[in-house]
Amino acid sequence: MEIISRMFDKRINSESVFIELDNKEYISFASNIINNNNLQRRKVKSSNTVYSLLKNDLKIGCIIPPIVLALSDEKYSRDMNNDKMLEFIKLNLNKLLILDGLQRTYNILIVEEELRKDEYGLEAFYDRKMRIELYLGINKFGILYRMLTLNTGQTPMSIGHQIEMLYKDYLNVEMDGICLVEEKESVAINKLGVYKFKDVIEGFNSYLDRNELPIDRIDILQNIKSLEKLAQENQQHDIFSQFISVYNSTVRKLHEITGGYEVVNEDLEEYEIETNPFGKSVIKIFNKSQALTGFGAALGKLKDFNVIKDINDINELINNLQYEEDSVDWMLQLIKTLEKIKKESKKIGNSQRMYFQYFFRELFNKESDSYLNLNSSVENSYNKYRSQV
Amino acid sequence: MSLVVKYQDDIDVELITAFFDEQDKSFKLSGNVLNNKEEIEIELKYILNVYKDYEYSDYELYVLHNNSLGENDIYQVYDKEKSIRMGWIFPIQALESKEHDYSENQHFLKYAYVAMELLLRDKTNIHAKEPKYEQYNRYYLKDFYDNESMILILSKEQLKKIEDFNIDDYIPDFYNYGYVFKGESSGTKDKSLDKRINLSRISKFLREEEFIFQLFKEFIGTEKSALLKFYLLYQVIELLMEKIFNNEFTNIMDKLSKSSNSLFDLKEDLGEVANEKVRIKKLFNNYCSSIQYSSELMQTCNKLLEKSNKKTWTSVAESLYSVRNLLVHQYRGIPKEELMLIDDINYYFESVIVDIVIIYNEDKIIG
Repeated sequence: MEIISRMFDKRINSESVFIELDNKEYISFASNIINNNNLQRRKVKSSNTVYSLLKNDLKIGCIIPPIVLALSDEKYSRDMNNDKMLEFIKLNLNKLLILDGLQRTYNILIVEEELRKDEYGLEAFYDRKMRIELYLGINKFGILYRMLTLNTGQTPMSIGHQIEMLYKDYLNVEMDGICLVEEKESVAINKLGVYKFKDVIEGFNSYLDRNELPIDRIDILQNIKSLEKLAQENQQHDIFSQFISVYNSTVRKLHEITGGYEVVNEDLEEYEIETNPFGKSVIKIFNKSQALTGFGAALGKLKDFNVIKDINDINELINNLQYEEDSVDWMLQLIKTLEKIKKESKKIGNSQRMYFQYFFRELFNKESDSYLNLNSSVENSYNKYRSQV
Repeated sequence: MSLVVKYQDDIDVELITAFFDEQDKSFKLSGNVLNNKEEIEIELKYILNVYKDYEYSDYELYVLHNNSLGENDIYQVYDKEKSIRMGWIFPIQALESKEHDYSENQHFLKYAYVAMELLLRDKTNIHAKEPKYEQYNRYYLKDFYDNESMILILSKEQLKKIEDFNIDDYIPDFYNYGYVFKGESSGTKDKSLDKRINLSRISKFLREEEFIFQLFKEFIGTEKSALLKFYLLYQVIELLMEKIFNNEFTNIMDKLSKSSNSLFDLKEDLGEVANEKVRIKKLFNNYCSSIQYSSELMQTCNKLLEKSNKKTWTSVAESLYSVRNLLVHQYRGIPKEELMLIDDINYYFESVIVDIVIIYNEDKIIG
């Protein structure tokens, strides 16, 4: 590995290091990178594809465009000389992220496999040089932003994917009693403070987009717009962790209000709830993606309307939440409302998200009739929802 | 036949290969771009639990429409007469959502997986849209099919138990439940409360009547005016009156050959059966029985007649016949503000027509 050039990008506050290395060295840490990139798409099926051509070209000795990697670790410093930097990189190979070139990496590994029987060919392949461009920096958002703007059209990833990549370090790390888990893990998420990583990402996206609907399309322009918005707000502090922290506090408060109550069959009968309830307790209701995205969208809109100045304003408001009747009635009414929505809706998931968005808006908007009142918010948000469908 | 994507705006690529990737839990469809032999692949995620118990070749799939139903409106479909379950009918959204009541129901899930396979292979070329190909985009059923699509999936094994099964025979009753093959449905009048749709076949005496199938398959739901809808529905009455004439005529001839009736009686009988009013009364009283909504139809007909200063009647046959004459001969005489009554008439008329084509019976004629 040899550093060819170093340049500093002022826009994103990170250093771009151009490195030359041989295929063998790249392969030695490439499989690790692929494991790190479990959030990215799988190998593209290749029989007659362009990638099949690439494989053959690699065997012959073509030069591929530099593969772009990123390494975010606080111990990096601009003052490092080249030797120190190489040392630093080699120590942190397991933290490398691919920003562009996953498919090329797969192909390099496949070529290695296919050449195993050809000792001479393999040797030649191992010795051939390739280049990587490595971004070092603390602000992960900046790295991603740069990749998007420089590579428009190439390898687009959904904004959800990109944000997942940015925040993958938060996975399995405890943040103030919050734990984010990956879908495939069998850890039960029915505990206070435990959320599915993907759902929190969706909630955060909803906040950025001011829209509770799930992202199902890749749109470069939309991506850039959302990231620009994030750039305006980010200002060196971490909006993402603020978001999840505020949400968690809200859920904790609601849980406290109901005393952690879990509804039983008698309750369902009393409230004439005929089918499987959306959730039987605050945790089970509000740990779901629909509630997270509704909250995110509501928060975003409240901010846009200047009803709240900052995400953290919610922390004050939740201390003053009120309820009527008993502390659980509002929750049962919520479950009943969600059942009504399920029976009427053309697309249930989207309708639920829209409803939750109105619910949180009603609850936290001082101009609304249901301000801080759980029971009225449940009811009035349903009326608002109906007026839109 | 298969699903199609548009490659670089104008090249159609048929996605002829489909397989389910267990690891990704998604369907992968691929096809070749003819000019440069490049292979492209798209992916559709399958979020429901996978039950691969059934072979898709053992099932038939149809796409219907019903604007008034939602994602949770999932029903089992039965043949009413034989009480045999034929399959399921559900909104296409039910295949891409875990929020409805059947998302954990194994019976539904087995059918759902098969439906997905059939929709993605599309051997009968029923897809409605051909989206652009974008390499890393994720695809959904709504990219290829209308959002309002209702998926009807039937078990060939079960259909064998129904004599001379033909899906078309159920079209009128599907219409009654609000399901149409084309155009807009007017919604269902009696929505099934117990998650089951019991369908009756069209009367065996009418299974060769092409017009009736055409009416429910192509015409009804696409017409724009109430007047046109009435005419189209009334065509069924006309058709049946002709059949009644033929049937009665045959009976009269039979009677003639068996006993020596006087020529005078023959002339009277023939005269009677030629009379349209007599035949329409026979239709409602003798060839059909217990038609739901017939009194409501009579009331709405009489309302229009009254507002148009015409005589009202005490039988549905006569009031309907009178409205028909009014609309054909004196439409101009109906007060403008009362024209919307034709919509009210049609609302019941279409249900009555469905009942008539199901119940119509030339064997046991009453009276």
